[in-house]
Amino acid sequence: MGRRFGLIVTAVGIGSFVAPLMAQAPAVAGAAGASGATAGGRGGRGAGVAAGRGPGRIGGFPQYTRPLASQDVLARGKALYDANCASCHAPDLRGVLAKNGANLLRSTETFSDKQGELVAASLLKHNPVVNLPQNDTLAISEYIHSIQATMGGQGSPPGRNPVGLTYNVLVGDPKAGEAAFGKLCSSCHSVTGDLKGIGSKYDDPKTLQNTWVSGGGGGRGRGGGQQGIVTLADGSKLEGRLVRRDDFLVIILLPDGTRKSFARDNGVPQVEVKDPQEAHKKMILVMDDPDNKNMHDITAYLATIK
Amino acid sequence: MNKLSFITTLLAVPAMLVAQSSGLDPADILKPLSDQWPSYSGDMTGKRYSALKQINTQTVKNLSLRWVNNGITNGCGPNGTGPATDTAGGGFGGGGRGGRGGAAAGTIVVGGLGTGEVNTCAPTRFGGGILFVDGILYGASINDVYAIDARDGSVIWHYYWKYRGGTTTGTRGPSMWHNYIYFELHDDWVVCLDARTGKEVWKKEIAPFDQQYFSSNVPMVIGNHIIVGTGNDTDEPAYLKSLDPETGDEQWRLYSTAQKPGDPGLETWPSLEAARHGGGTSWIPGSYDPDTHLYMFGTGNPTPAYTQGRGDGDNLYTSCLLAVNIDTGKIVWYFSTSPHDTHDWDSTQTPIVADAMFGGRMRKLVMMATRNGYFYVLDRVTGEHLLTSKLGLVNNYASAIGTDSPLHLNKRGEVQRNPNKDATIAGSLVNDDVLNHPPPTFVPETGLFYVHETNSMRISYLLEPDPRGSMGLGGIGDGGGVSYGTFLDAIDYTTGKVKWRHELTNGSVGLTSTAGGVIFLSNGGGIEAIQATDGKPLWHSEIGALSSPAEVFLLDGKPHVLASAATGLYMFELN
Repeated sequence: MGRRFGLIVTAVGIGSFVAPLMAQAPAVAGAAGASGATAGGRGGRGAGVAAGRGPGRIGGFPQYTRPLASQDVLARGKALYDANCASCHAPDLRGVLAKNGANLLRSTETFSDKQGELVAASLLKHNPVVNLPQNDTLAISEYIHSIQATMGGQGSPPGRNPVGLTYNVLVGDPKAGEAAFGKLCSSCHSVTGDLKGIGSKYDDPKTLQNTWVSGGGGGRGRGGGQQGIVTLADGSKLEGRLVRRDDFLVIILLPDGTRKSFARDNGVPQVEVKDPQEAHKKMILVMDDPDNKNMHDITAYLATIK
Repeated sequence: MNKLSFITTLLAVPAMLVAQSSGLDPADILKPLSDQWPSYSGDMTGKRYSALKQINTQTVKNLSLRWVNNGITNGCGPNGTGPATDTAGGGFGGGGRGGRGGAAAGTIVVGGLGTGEVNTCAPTRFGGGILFVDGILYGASINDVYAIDARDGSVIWHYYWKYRGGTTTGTRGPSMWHNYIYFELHDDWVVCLDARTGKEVWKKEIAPFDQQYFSSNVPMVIGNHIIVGTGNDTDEPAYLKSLDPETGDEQWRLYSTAQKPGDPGLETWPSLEAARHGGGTSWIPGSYDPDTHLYMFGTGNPTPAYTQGRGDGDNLYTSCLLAVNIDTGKIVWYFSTSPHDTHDWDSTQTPIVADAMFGGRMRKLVMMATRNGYFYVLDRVTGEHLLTSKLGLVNNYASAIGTDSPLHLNKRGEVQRNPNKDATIAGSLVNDDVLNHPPPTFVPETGLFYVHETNSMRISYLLEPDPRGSMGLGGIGDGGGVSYGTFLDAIDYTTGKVKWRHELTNGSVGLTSTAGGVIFLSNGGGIEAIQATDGKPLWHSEIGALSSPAEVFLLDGKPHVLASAATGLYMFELN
């Protein structure tokens, strides 16, 4: 399904939500629910679901609107889950691969369960059968519901990086990167000139990589505001900032502030866009390789430019 | 018969005569697109190609505005007229306030399972297809369906659904069978409305709301079948359903992935559990071939979309073009447009059915351009692969950048991705969606298949390295990127090559063409017409970006063009 997210917001946000949210105490689960969309990273898309998550919210899937059970029930539910279920279904409810444990966060039964009835029915069908009093299955179901309430938008589970890996962007070879930089970038850029100290300026390698690949920030989707030259039917030329340029209308803002608009007919007046990123965009096409080596190498090299 | 009842009968006669209008014969939906617009794409071929030659490269400049209605608003609150606390009596004034022509307000019919608190009385933005049948338009926004007089834009009735929230995308519009209007609600019901009054005839649950399904597809009418689909971002089983048009009872259900041992495609998953939760939702309608009884539609992305958790197989039948026998609901053939997709590249684009020359002989073809930026031609009877070609100026996820770089295909002609361009922790530089669900068009005279093309690259970072993978669309983040522009592509279907590109400023809402050699699209300041042979701009109207593709039909003997924009609903007539 679709996804539309702001480049800058995402890039900035990445560093802030790598912290695990796993195995939260129920109270934490409730709090995390309020910021669930952020934890998901790629949050929900609909205007109709923009309201905050968590119990009491008006409208939305039941997982995000249902009242949470009391702290006592959730604490009991967690304890019972950990003792009876976690060995196969995992402490984070997402299943233990080696035991073919089903992911309970996305289980049809836990989604549709209301008061523990489907969880209890599943336990009776379970192999081996798990015999628990109704009060306990209710507590387990409430605990599962409390974790589902913290799921991120568009299906993300709560938290991430449960295995504690370090997110290392600096996988490239700085020496190879220096050579690639010399070949691809040095006709326009210099590490002693415009890029002096870039490795210190962006000390997070991911931000560094995002920034230089974007051409210094924000190469994507910028339609308006480019400089251009408009050539009229009589051959006269106007240079300035292009306010609008489509098949039927050209609007240009001249350096002295004068705004001129022209009806356009089959490409006349002609418009030549002076894209400041043109050379950069061409370079990206040459730089790209099947295993992203050039990009990683250049990032590794630029990170050394302190 | 006593005297009283005799009088009653007499009085009732005129009303009965009106009431006996037969509405839309489902056989008419199968006719080539011409006078009416009776279904999502106008006809079931998906061509969006109108036989109305009167709208041609010479005459299109004579289109003039017949009416605009910029006063239609969505319903909200308990009765559709505003929040319950609004003592002013509903300042936003709910359904169908008339347009500039002083058109009458429509009757509001209220349905739905919510309270109305989540609905908002915003200006209506029509989505998907708007039907035009016997002088009446039937259009919809997410929670509201309208019948509108095509002659003056006045709202006849307004069906307002109080929804419960959940994932909300955009509607693909209503459909019609005889005197019934069908519509899917995002909180997972389908309603059947009386086309004359907007009153509910029946309603059925499509999928459980508490399993986070959301239903935005258009119910497709094929003979005595109503085909409904639903979406889901939490890995719940994906399916297509066929319903009885008169009762809503389920006729068959087709799951996109294996749900039990022995189901086909299970061998392409690491486990039954993974297959059951493997995605492949149906949220865009398909096309239909009445000769073979094949309904061809594209399934959504596999889940988890970007991460591990699905083994190494092709993950059938996600991101596939499926040909389904409409009577049985069984898959007759499949073609995977993105085997083991790792980029959220749903195959939810409109396939186009055409009988055309290919390889020196007339073939029964189905053509499709998909989100990963590839174009396919198949024999629609057998599913035989005939052609795969690459679109996009920076399409690098499977083979090197370059429109002529060698393709990386399997024996079936399906694209084999480069796994190094999957999201990685250190980031991989990969093309974005090349196109999306807005429908393409095909003009037989030019032999060209037209579709939007977006060219951009981004760095895709893996944030969820857990071998179990993430869920839904979770587990990655986008980084920096570069844009290379948006175009209308004209593709020679016999070679798959892009014959020409026309630069665009607007995002795509879909295309419509006429036998007069004109293509309508959303571009620049609003609706635009260009020449089908070469993309030469011909006509435009500054009504703002469209919210759904333009439509063409005949009203009072004159060709008309309907355009819905954020600023209102516009009817142009050809003078």
